[in-house]
Amino acid sequence: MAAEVMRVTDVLLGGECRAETLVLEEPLSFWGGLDPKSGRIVDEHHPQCGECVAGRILVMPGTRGSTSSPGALVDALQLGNGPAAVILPQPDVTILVAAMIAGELYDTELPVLVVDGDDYRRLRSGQQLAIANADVRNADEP
Amino acid sequence: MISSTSKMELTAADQATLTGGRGAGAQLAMRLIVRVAEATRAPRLIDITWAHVGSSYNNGQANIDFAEKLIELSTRVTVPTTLTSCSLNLQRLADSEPADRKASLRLIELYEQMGCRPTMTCAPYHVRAEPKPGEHVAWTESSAVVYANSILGARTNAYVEFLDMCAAITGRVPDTGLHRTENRRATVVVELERLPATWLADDRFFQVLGFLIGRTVGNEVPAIVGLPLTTRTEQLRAIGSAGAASGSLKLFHAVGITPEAPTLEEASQGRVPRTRMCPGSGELRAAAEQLGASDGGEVGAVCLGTPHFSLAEFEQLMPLLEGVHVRKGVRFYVSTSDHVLGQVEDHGWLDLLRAAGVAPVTGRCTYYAPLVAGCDGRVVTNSAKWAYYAAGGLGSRPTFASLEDCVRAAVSGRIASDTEFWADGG
Repeated sequence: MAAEVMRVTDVLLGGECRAETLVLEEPLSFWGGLDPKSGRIVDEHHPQCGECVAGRILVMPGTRGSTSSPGALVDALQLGNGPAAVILPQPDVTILVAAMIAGELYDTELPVLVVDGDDYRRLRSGQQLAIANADVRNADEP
Repeated sequence: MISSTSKMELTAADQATLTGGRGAGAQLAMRLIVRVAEATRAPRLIDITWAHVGSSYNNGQANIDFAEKLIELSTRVTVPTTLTSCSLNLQRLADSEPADRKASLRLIELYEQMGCRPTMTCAPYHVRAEPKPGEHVAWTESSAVVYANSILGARTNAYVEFLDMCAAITGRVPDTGLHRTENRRATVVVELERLPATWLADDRFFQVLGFLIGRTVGNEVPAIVGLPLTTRTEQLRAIGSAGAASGSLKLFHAVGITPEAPTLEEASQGRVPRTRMCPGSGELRAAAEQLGASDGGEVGAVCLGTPHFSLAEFEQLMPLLEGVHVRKGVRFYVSTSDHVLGQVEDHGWLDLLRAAGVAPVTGRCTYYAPLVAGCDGRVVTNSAKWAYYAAGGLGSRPTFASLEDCVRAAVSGRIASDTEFWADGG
């Protein structure tokens, strides 16, 4: 699927990056689920527990749990341990708020995109993607 | 920097805030509110009358930097704003870790400077006049959100930290989710049939029912049919807080009891709910067992007050403590707010509590970084939410029991078994 372009249905927050995907099979609570100091998923009940989100394009169904959730993601972004972008199948307020607050406080940039459901389901961990606002394409070497 | 223009239709006042007319802090807050409104496809912003804020909790550096930034921009809240619980036991500050104590107290001070009331409670509905049915508020804290929506008939989504404070500053929120009438209709009917009459009269049942409903209904809005008309506010609160802990319950209707459900038809706004569930006694028993229903044993600690104990609950507790004393070596905590503890004192109950060996805890909850970690024996609670959340922090399963048995356990050092009660309704 070289140079395949994904159908982006909503740009919650624009930006550019090129990085490798990490697909989370289940929603994650950042509070208690993400260690900002390492960027690792530490929720023992999460299927991707132990994986590191730092510098990855996080492909995830959304967030769950505590209403204090955005803080841990903001802290991770400030420490340079946050993801490079987030791709969702539907809008997620927690991630949008975290991305905006990190931008306001620390000048970080975290693109947050919603993509079409079929395209979302085709994403696998370890793919190279290039994101430029509403343009998301597979950047794997042919 | 995020743009200060919006595709959404905004009032002149919102537009002025968005372009900096009310200062840079209000501008930042409005940018967030508008962007969230756009992302959630809200047609407009609406006024709120009360914000309940959790950004003041010392979760990490972001909370401190956010507050400092708002202060630097001379930001103030524009609606009455209460603060949710903190990590400190305000009755014994010395117990907390020095770095957390310093940061938490600093955060509380900064939020006070911005005009917030340092209520430090997960039960804001105890500390000022409750919002009226239909009133829009912006609350954080899952148990408070479900309480506002279900029991009070007020309207709120579950506001995450930072966004809650932006609502407090602007007094505006996106008109989405549970602010809108059509999203409040019951989509699932929960019918209570053929359950032991003793269960329906017992506080434990409401905790377990909420736990089961929360785990089952996902993001649906349940209407419960068959609760006794004598169901008390605290019992409804138990359904909500347990369901918000085990799942993501934000609104439920109790037909014949809660404000938006005089009848099932009204609760479902004249439409037919998608699904119907009829939890049997077997399912409820299994849920109780999963929560840690008591099978008897030695007790090390008792924790009450999740969410924060109400005055009515203290009224229930006080006669049970008459003429008894907590056994040596057993810890007995009741979490509440400073406000309610003040009322307890006014009733002359505080000295009686202390004389009986009960330690009131204010400001915080006892389930995270549990005050009771490492104690010998079981930890007993009457709260499903406590039992659900503390399991991780304690490293052992808590025991779930009635208020009466919690007190007896604290006094005798042994918790009675609930096996019979859950087997056949006692």
